[in-house]
Amino acid sequence: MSKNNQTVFIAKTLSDVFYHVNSVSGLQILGGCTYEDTIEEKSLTVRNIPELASFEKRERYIDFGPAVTLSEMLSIGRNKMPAILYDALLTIATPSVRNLATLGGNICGGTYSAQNSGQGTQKLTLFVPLLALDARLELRNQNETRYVPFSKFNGVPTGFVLTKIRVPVDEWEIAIYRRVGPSNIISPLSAGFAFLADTQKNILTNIRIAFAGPIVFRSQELENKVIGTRLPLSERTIQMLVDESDTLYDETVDSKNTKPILKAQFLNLLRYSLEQLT
Amino acid sequence: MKIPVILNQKKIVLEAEPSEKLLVVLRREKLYSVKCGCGKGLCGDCTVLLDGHPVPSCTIPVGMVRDCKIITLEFFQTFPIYSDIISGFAQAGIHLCGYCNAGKIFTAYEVLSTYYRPDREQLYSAINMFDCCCTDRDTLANGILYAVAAKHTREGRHKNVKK
Repeated sequence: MSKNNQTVFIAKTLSDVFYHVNSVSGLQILGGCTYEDTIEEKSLTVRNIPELASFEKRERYIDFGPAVTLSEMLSIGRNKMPAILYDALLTIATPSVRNLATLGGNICGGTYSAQNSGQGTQKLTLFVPLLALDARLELRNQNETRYVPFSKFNGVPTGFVLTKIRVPVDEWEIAIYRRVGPSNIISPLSAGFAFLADTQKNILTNIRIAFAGPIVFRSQELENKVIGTRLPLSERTIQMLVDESDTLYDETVDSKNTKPILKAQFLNLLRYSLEQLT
Repeated sequence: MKIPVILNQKKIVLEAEPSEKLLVVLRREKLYSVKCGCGKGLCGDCTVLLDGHPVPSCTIPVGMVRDCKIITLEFFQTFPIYSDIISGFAQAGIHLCGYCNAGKIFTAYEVLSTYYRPDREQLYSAINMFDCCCTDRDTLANGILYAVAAKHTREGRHKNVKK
């Protein structure tokens, strides 16, 4: 035991993780530790657990363990995983940081700091692509397994552990990911934009629009309005959709706590993406 | 807290606070090839090999590296691949300033171990972070390509040696 009573526990199996989570109060689970500057008094590192540090590729989805590093994810290749997820991974920090940073850390990192600092939640880079792709999270404790859609994820409940991230591998005709704000680091101006669209016989059959950073924006209402539209979209239709998004953004997002530039960037990116639908 | 690690292929026990950065602890162990740069893992000056992969030691709390294999540039100099990298760098006319050595050499090592024959895009994505004024990116990319050639030559010669 050290002078300031800081302890880092090491788990070798998933049972060890459940044991520590149940028996140690206020336990912080560590991924790669590249985002958090400080660690809690009691923390647990899970990077050596094979079950959590591996991924499995199936025909329609990829199951990632939360301790999979971002470099390992990149090693799958752009054509074997959703393009926006790959593009988002490339914008994260540097290759050496990506050797250390984990997927679970990227999903939970911002939420965890917000809970502890009392400040607003800052979603990290992979939040947007996973939100747009409708990823599903598996949360487990010793007795129960819960499956949570990514859109309803608000942090890991007490006593539970994030054990799997299921990412669907659907084919999208147009897949656009853009990161705004400073490159390589996360600040209140950092955010991500994802746009996915599918067409059939010049009719828009599916669309997903997501924007997240200090705020999270994804509107089913907006997406449902656009689905079924005939392509190419006229200038007037694009303007109408951008105006509607503007209104929905104001309704969804607390504009007092976010920078106005984020809204401008979101609307510009949305206009650009809609213009690509030809 | 006592943290057992394999540092430069020797089993040792580090005595440190778990939240202390690995960079600070390594420098306390008199391993001065690990330099303090930006402190955010972006500049590469503090790079070490952790379980065979280059990582920035300035972001890692030392409590996390229990039982891990850490290799610093001091020990890496005994590896045959180090000679390939240095000869490649020399061929490209690179004279490293001494501060950024670890980042550039370990990045070259990662490129050499990942790709058999890296293309320019792969090279530039690997070295994009380097901003040190001692070497520009094009020269560094050339240096790594020469290092790849040196590695192939060495391995080719080894393959032809009769045992």
